[in-house]
Amino acid sequence: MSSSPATRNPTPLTAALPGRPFLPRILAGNPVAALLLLGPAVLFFVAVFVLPVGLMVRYSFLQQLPNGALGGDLTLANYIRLGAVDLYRTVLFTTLRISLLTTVAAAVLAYPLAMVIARGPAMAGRLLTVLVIAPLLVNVVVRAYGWRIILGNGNGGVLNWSLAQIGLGPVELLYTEWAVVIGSVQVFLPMMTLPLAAAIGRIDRAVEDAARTLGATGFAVFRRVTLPLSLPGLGVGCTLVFSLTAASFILPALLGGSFTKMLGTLVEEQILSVFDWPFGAAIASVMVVIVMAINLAYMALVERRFRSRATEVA
Amino acid sequence: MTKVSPLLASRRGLLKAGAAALAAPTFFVRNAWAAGKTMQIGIWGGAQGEFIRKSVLPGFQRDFDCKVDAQQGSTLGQIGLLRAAKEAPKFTVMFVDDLGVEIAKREGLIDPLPRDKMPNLAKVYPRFIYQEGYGVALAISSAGLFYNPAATKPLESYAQLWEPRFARKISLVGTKTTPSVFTVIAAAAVATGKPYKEAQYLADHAWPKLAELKPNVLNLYGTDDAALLVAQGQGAIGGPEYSKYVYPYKLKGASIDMCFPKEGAFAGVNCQVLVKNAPNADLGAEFMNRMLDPAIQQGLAETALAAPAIGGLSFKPEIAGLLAYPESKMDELGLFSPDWAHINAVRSDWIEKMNQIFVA
Repeated sequence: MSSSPATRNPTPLTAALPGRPFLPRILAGNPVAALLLLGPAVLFFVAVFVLPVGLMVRYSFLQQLPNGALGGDLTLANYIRLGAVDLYRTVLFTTLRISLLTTVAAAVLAYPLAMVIARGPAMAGRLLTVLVIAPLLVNVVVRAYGWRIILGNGNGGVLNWSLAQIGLGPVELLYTEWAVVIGSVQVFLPMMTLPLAAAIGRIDRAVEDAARTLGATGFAVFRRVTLPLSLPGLGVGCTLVFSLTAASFILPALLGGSFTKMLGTLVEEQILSVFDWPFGAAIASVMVVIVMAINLAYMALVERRFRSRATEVA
Repeated sequence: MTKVSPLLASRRGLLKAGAAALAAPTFFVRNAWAAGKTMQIGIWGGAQGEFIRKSVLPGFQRDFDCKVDAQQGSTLGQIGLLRAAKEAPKFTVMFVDDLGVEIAKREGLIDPLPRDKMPNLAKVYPRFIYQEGYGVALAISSAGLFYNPAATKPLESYAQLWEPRFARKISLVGTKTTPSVFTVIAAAAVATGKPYKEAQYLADHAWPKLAELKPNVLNLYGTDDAALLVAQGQGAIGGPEYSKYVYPYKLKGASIDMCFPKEGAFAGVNCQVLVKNAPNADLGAEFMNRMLDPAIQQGLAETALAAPAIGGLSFKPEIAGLLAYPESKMDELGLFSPDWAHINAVRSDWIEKMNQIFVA
């Protein structure tokens, strides 16, 4: 089988982003314009991310002195404590487990929504987009309190009351990991759905039609064509949902009832309750490094998979 | 019913206004030194903060022709602000809990209270002047257990929390807030049979006892609405918690009440301190003195349902029943203030231990 140019140079993940062909042309032709266009964003990124994270990493090697100041000799004591006390390993694994479960559940729920938004009737797509985005207008705390009412243990909870009406239950969900996962999926679902819808919307319908013409079932079309070609959107969605879930502290606090502690909760506790900024910074630094590493590994995996699938499809 | 003629009313009003106008220059001359000054203070949030904003600040600003910027925050947050501006203080007066007075004094963030400029200090119960005069209480909450009367009777001892009938029915205070240290002290008291005063130094005995409590714990809460959830049937009992976060729900008719087991009640004391090298320290002293004024103390106590720090006040029976006041009632409840110098030093370890026990 002879390979086409597209096969030899499969489109990278980032090419799926809107406007990609237009912007690089300007940037390649005029470096000054490129600097002017990118400058503010880069400065903003440096000011609100790189510098604070650098400061945080520096704090993590300092000590909270008895007079309340941060200082002393540079030390690894905070990281040694993180490794030595089993509590922090438990919390780390809980954080990763909840983030992974949330990401998988959000992806499963987001695909049908994204398909309708991208491929359904225009009116249905618009309506669904509004429905997906609408919860973002409500504060996370308010939504968490709503879930507390729904998932409440005993007959006070809407879910248990409903189950009791049909002779089922009760189930104990509130103050468990599952409550955190359910709340997180609801809160972060738009971050998965929207990139997926954008990615699916860019898939050439002719490719799917060709698969159907060749006798593929609906599920086969999805598995062999739509899913592989929507991987860039899935990658973006997974990165967003995983990172946001791993860093959250409101949902675990309200729905996990402190039995389910996540790294974000521990950071909040060390900063606001104990006032041990160096140890809080060490936990936060570990969290940033692990989440970033997992995201990078995941993106690399998805990109490699996308390249190989794009090659197959072409 | 006697009607007052509008003419007479307006004449009286005119006379009052005239008298006020005659008196005003004297008053303003007396406080002229403060005219035009601006002072930054840190206050609490919630009902107490609202009372200060609406009922204290307008009158104080009018009387001293000054401006007061009030920033709301929690104790450790306020301490953080003082640390950040230690070299060039911006705040003059800061409201912190009693645990914060110890930290602030130890770190050199506050000055002693200027007794000569605060005559109302003489009205304060001596037990509520802290750290050799570096902080003074404004409101005292008593911390105990809250319970749903439909689910259980009030407990006579903290030891009853370990009974099987409370399996997954206890809403225990989480590690984030100050009352979590009361949990440790109460557990140590139950384990050793010692009073709080000694039990607070025997935390090692508390950990195995708390581990035994885990099957009875429904959740560790970190929000102020925990009592409301128990009232709604999420568990039967909870705490330890400050009365100011429970009694407002009781007054509104929720199925919730408080009990103070025989081991004693814990004191949650809201204090005020004068920032070290504070700008406009004289104005700050006037403000702190105003906060100890009987009328302000009365209003603050009725708003927050927390006992005042000064003697000689009386309350309506429905309010009086909810306050650890007067001093004799505080003694009856065994109101206990921990040794914050000790607790603050070990709190990080305590939180870690509690997390190790309760985090799944």
